[in-house]
Amino acid sequence: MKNLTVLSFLYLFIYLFSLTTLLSMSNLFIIWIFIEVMMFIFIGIVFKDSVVTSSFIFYFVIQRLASVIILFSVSSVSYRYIALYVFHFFAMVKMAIFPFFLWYYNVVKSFSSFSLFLVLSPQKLSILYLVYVFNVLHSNQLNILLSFSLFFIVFSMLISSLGGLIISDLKSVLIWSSLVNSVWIYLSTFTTYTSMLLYFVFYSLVLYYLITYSDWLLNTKNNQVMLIWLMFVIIGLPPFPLFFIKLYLVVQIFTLVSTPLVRVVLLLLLCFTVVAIVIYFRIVVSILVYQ
Amino acid sequence: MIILFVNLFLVNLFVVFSRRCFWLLPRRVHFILDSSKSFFKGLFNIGVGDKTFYSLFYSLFYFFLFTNLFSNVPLSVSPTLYYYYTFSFSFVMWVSLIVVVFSTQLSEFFAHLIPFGAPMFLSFLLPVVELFRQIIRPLTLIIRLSTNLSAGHIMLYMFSFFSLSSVFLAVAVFWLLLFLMILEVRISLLQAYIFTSLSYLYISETL
Repeated sequence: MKNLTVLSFLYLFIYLFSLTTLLSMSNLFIIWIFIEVMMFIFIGIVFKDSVVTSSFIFYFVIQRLASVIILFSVSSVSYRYIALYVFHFFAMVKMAIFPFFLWYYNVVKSFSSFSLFLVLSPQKLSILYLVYVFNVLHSNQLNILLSFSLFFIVFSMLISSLGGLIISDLKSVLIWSSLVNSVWIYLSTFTTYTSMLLYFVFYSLVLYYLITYSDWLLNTKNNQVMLIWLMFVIIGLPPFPLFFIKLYLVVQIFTLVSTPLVRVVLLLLLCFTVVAIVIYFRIVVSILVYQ
Repeated sequence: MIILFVNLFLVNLFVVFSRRCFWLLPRRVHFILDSSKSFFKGLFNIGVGDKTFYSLFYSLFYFFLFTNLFSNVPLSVSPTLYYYYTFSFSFVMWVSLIVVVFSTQLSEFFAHLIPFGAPMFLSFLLPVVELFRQIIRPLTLIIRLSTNLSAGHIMLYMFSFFSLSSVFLAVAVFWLLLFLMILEVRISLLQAYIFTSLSYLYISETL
């Protein structure tokens, strides 16, 4: 947040305005255009803010390649059945779901705090809304699409919860936990608009607090207590609201598709979520022990 | 919605194709563009020293001007009549302003909550009032624009029903409606100016 200038007002205005315009559109092409506008404005914000240019170029190239193929699949989905899967495949590239997650940590870890928040939250919201509108438009093939994506979703949950075990600093924990949460976000595109936005907004609020204050959060004892509370909120254990939102999502998926395969897969997903709790607890324990 | 897109398209087409690099000789378009620029400069006094947000306010002013003017077409609906639409402008502007101010000049922002020379006993109350004034800014912007526009439209709509009641009343109501229509056009011009100048004022005051 330190490297923002007065001129950043212009960038932020156009960025947020294209985000709000995107969220009120129902045409896939217009949403795609506004995603690209947000990407261009994101360049302006990050270049003022960034530390390592090469990692940003890497991010830019990956997002752009994926969105070009998304554009092709959107335009050809009416007469090519496979374009349904191609769309979801490359939306997973943009969201860093399982087979395409390796670029994510190395690219995102060099961003500064404000651009890290922009990568983790509004950039994902745009893609999330694109996938949601795509799912609504093709709701008659939703069962097949959900069964197709659940395979990747479960593996992504497993990999990201295991991968988070090898790191110990706060920023890396946030990046790996964003991988875990992007799985839930991707799953929520198959449910209703309200529950999708509920999960996303709540997650990004907690993330905003964690990221912007991560610089001075560990200084005093009060701040450490604050950090532990925020960690408990983002874990999603029962007394905290993120648990109930996740429960609501799972119930909605159950009512939508209730084949035995989907049930088994969702149970596996919940089991791997328990593994992901260990990532956060390591930070909490390290604060409690080494303070 | 159609009006909105036509408006956006026209403004963008106008701005893009009236660039001087597309033309060898000056055309009628350039006259319109130059006169619009000088009109804008005469109204706002922005583009002289501070060129940072010139393009933003230029496009914002003409966008609201044309959208408000389109609302005076009979049997049409303009998006600026609705709080939802204008709120998206003012709220987004306010949020980005607050984020930039908080990250660049946080201590100055909080220092300005107590004005220079305020007495000591007021300094407990003044920050609350000033903070409240900062927070309701997007709301005042949208209420000023949309309510002024829609109040006149509702009056037009009401008086047009009086003309159905009797023929003799209809003659009088016609002149009243004509007068109101002229008033409405002027209000829609004025409200675009007020929205843009107030948002410019807020931004130049805080940044």
